[in-house]
Amino acid sequence: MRVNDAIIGAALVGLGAATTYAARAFPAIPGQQYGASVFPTVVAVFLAGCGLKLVFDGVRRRRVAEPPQPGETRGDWCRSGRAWFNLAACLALVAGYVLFAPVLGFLLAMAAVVTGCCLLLDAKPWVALVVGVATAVVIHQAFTLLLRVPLPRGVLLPF
Amino acid sequence: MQAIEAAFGLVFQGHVLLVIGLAAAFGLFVGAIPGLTATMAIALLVPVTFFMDPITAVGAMISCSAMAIFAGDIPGTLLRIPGTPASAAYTSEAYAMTRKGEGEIALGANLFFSALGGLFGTAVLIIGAPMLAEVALKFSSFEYFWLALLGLTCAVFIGSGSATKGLVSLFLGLLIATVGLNNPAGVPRFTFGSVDLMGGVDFIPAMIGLFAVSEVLRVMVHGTAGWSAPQAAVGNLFTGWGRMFVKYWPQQLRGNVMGTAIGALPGAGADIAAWVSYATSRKFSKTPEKFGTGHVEGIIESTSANNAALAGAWVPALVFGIPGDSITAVVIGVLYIKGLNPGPTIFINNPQMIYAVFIIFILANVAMIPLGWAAIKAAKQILRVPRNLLMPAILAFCIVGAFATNNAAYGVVLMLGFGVLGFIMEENDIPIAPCILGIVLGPMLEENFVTSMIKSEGSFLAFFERPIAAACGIATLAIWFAPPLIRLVRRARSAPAAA
Amino acid sequence: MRRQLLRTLVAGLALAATLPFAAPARAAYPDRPIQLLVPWGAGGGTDAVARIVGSLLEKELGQPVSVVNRTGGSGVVGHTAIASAAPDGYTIGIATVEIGMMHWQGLTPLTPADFTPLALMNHDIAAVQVASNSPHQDIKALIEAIKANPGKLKASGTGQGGIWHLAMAAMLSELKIDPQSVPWVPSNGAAPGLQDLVAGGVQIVPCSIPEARSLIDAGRVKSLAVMGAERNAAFPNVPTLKETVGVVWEMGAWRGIVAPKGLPEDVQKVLIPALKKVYESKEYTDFMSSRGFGAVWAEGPEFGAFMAKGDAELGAVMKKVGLAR
Repeated sequence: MRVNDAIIGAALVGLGAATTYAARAFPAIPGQQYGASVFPTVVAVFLAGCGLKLVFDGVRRRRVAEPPQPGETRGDWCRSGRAWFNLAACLALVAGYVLFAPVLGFLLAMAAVVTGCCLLLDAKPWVALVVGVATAVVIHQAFTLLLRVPLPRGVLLPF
Repeated sequence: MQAIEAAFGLVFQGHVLLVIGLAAAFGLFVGAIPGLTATMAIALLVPVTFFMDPITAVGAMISCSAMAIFAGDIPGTLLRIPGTPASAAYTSEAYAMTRKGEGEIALGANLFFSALGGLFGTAVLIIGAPMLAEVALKFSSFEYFWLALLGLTCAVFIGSGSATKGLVSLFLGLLIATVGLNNPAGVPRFTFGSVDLMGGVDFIPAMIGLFAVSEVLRVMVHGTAGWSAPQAAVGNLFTGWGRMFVKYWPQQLRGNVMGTAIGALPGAGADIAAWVSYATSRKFSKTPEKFGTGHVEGIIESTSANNAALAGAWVPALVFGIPGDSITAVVIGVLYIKGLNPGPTIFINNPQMIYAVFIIFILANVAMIPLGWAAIKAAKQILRVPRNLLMPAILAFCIVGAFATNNAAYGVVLMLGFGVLGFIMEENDIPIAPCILGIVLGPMLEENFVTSMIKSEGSFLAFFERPIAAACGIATLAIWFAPPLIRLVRRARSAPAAA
Repeated sequence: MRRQLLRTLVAGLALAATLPFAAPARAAYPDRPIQLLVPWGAGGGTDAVARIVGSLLEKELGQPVSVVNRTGGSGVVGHTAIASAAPDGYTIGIATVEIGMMHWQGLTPLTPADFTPLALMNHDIAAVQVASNSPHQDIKALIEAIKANPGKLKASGTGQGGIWHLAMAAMLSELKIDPQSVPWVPSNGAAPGLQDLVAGGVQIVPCSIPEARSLIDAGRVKSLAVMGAERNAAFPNVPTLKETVGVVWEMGAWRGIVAPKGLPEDVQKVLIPALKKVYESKEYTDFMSSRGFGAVWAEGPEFGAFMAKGDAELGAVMKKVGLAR
């Protein structure tokens, strides 16, 4: 998802402007010159400045192609439907975990996320299921018993 | 001399050594789990220490924290999930080494120089704790302001590639740091009415998201191909370390000195030390172009600084009861409970205790080498797992790690958001490390600026009125303005010659 | 395409296996682990108190009590988490004095009335600290100096609008001095404030004595007066405000165990006696005296009344100094 620097720059200028605008409403510290709005405003101005620089750079050389990192393939994946599908599905699985873990309980929700992700990466279904369940059980035992992290308890299972 | 003998007697008892060993194993375990911190490991130990005698309790804490900090580098190197903001300085570099098949070399260097750094820091602690603490106590908001600025400046020297994009990442981090209630005015900023956002953005979920989740997403998009480099095993460990030590001793020493000096300052000592060291290493390297491609030089210097800083954090803690970091904050509490009230008097009233603490420090750093080596060997097996099964498991650890920072689903949401942000940033060659530095140092910079302004009643000159502040300020300004000035002078000189 | 469809289906199925059965019937309380939420970070005083209470309560109840830090937003996040948990006794929390402050600042609608009070465990009174090399060696001299040069002396020790800030402002207004004449320098707690005091950045830190203890012992900080009715037993040489300047003013930070509103009576009848045993245990009293924390006990409605009274007083002070919204 490589986009031209000019677009990123423009987005940053927008973010900077919005921040500066929102920061104007922050109250001052009673009796002091420098209140809550100073720091965000200064940062936003610098951010917008960098954005402007990116816009100029981006317009000047329309597209910058840098050599990929060693061992990494960076093709243009944007045209691949599969890539977009995988990205969206992975994000949806994690979001689903956040939404459903309190209901399903940690074990089921996490097993679902891991199994789903393995399937997205072309694992055999039974392998995916085994890995999913095993990961969830191992993490559950380590975190609740040893580290006492209160992982979400579902309505479904008594743990 | 009697006190030292007594101290040895206190430490070298079966049950004390056993507890120290168990605590070390526990620290190794917690630290190696992505997203869990050394502070958490220590906090979990606290209720257990209530039932121990003083030396056992303190020994358990020291060995546990030292191991946990080192172990945090294991997931950072192998899976790109940094354990602390300090290790975020070199996570990308170490992971690049793993991708080149040199993961074991990176971790080995990390282990060896961590232990050396720890020993150096301990030596300084033994020799000069009271003196160093005096200096640390002279730091007020004016000095801390410059220190934070110096740390942030390093972000610009760290990245390879476009300086503008490094700055974009840094300012994004600083902007993210302003979210929440934690600001000098104590008012909610950019919270959009959410209670969770009032708490601000914790750097751990942010770090997990930016580094690890973005990598998972990249694999989702690009597929699992492209990581076939076989992992090289290091044959003889000691010759490898010997060679590295001979080749990089100046870097190591510089890291140690910087780490102890900055680490002794209460606050963000270890983090700033690691970043400043990485930047220094690159600046003075003979081969700066290799940085970022999986080069061990910068790792050595910053990991040395990181661990030296840990011992440094104990300086103000032992001498004045002022916590140098969140770990020593917990430990100070335990010291009080055990009747070992920190303060200058502890050196006079309880010298055998202090010597025992020093002995445990040395023991912990020496024991780190065999224990850490075993952990590396075990953890390395992770890389044999096929990547299409490994990546989902990493995601699972990211989720629980982010959850465990504040025991709330909010951490997972943050992590996901930062994962997407990191993915987009790296697709467009915007480095992610400066963003983390911005999130960590942003509050420190703002707080010290605003409080300084309140103290000085709005006069900017106050930033140069105190001697240490003036020195720090001039140094920072010199780093900013010297290179362009030198370039200008050179151009001015060469211009008439050309004409 | 078909494979992709299949994959979607399987992945979707794996996630959507929502099968909420009925919850298992409840045995006698407590039959599973209990969470003790702490609105402040690991390493602080509140965290330390929570961890000792948690480990002793675990012994009393025979079920694990996990201490869970829910930090951020000056305590708003953690207090909200306690109040919004299910009132089943499996989530309790440690509330701090801030619960009576943040709603006046408009940060949250939560008030002490949103909790079931269980037990007050600790109360620390504010005191006035200066650096040992300060030119003002007693409280009268300090007050004269504040009157003579309003705005010159600065104070620190907590965030803007924090408890020690209020204590200082309230003390000044009791003395008929404008609270603005000692500008407040916000800090991230007492320790950084005290460090700044020794470094010469500020001149006054009005925190509690236990917080300043190590630096007092080290001879770097001097405590001039306690803002309470009585002297602190651990520091009998520090006079009270009443003895020195004749002002009766008492303000301090407290910590207590609370549960979400609407906790059933039968659960309260288990928890309160257990907490009482914890409070009276040797481990707890030793811990409190070794840290120099003031152990104070109040249970149930009595603790509720204590919170309500503190809440009203803090509200009055905050309005007076312009911190309330």
